[in-house]
Amino acid sequence: MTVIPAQKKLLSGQFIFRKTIAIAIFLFIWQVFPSLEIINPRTLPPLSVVLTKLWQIIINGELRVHIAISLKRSVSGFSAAVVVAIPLGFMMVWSKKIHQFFNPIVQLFRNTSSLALYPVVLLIFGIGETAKFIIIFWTASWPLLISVIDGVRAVDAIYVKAAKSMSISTVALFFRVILPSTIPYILTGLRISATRSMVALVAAEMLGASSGLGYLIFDTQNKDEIDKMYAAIITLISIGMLINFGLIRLEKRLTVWKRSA
Amino acid sequence: MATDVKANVIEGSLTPNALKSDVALKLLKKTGRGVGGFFLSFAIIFIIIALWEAFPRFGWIDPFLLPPFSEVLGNTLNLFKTGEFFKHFNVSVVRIVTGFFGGLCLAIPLGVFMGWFKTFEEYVNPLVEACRNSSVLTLYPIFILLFGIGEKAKISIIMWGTVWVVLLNTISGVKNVDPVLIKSARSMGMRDWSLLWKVILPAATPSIITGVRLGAANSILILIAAEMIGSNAGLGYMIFYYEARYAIPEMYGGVVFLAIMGLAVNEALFRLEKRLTSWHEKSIYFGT
Repeated sequence: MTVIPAQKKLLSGQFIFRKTIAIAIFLFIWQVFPSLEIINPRTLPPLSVVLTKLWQIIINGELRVHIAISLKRSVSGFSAAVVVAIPLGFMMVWSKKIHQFFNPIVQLFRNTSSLALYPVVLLIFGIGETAKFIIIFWTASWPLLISVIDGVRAVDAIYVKAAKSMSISTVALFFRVILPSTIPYILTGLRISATRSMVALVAAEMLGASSGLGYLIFDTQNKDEIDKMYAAIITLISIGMLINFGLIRLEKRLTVWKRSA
Repeated sequence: MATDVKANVIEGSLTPNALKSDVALKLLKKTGRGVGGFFLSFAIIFIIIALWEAFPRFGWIDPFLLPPFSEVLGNTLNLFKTGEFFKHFNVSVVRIVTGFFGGLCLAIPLGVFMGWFKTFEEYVNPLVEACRNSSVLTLYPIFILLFGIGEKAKISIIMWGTVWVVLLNTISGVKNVDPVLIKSARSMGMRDWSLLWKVILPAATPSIITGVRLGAANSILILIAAEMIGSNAGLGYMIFYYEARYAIPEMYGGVVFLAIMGLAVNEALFRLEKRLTSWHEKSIYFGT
């Protein structure tokens, strides 16, 4: 009885060590190599310099402005995609005929890199917030739509058959059988589309923007403010990871039934 | 019995008895689609092209913003004739092929290695996950800083976008091979090398191919983004150039071509996947 907790503690200590050692070594190299000028510090300033700069732009509020505008863009585009794409996905697999009808266009657009349509969006909406919203919305929509379609098509036919043989209504079939088994797919879709919309956000801010984290990164690179550039990159990557982590958490919570079954 | 029930649902009205043999099932599936299904599959494409032609022609959409389909087609064919198009196409293909295949050549062997040596993988995994989860384009300025604006930066960013997703899928494919397969191969005296070639790699193939498909989609996306700035050739550059010059039909031509290219790449990889793996697809519809 007394041994087990001690062992557990040791194990968890080992676990933490395993999980952090690679990243620790990476950060160590980032600090030491530029300091010793093994890597040119003009290309890669030491970690401490970058962190100091990061702290500085957090304090003077510069970073907050860019984060706010980037979040506004990505959240609005992403939520619009969630609201539109998920119901649309369910409608597209309602029946074999409907699915067959829409399938070619879905296949075409899922494989069309969303950035290829960015010039079209720019042409129609001009350089501005609308164009950025549209391109993020578009990018985020397809993975969601496809995950819903794939999810519904992967529902085990036996469940549907069983529910139907117990004369379930179509509405109840949808909410009791189809939707719960589609949720893991939707959550995977959410994660893919969150990642993609980050890419779209940065690309949209690369071109014709005067604010936002994507703009900040490319602007500071042009102005040769390298430490600030790295600070902005760290911020953007951290936000991306935070969102991803949050979605993984949500996934685990919503699919508890799956593991217990 | 289970397959019968599923097939029954797929085909709707067939009795389970009719589906005794696999051959019969395949035949039925093929004829089940039939001529009507074939037309249904292409109907939407024709409808869209017809609308694309009609709307600007009748002035329901400003023909400057969306020129009629025939005009786009004509101008695009002209680009093919002058060779202007192939100039950009070649540049893009070189970038994407080098970056994408370079990424594959790095990621697949490394992934097999890391999946095999699980302890090593456990230590490195957090770093790999971090790299995979950091948005690719965010790192583009660093690549420009390191390699300058040029081919090197573009190829390496495409490579970066391919490597991590393929690596993670390869690792998980190799790690999740059914232990029973490995144990039975071992008990029959199989050596490490042939175990790897004959058991582990085939079993990991579906997962690897999934990674390759994701990597391919990523690399086209990154290619266009990389060509958006600091470039003077390539398909991505071409569409933005024509947009800026208001050569709108040519721009649409480029966009349509990129769409078809994405579709073709995906189709090719899908065929490859089907050839390299064999599993049953099941599909059902809940509305009928």
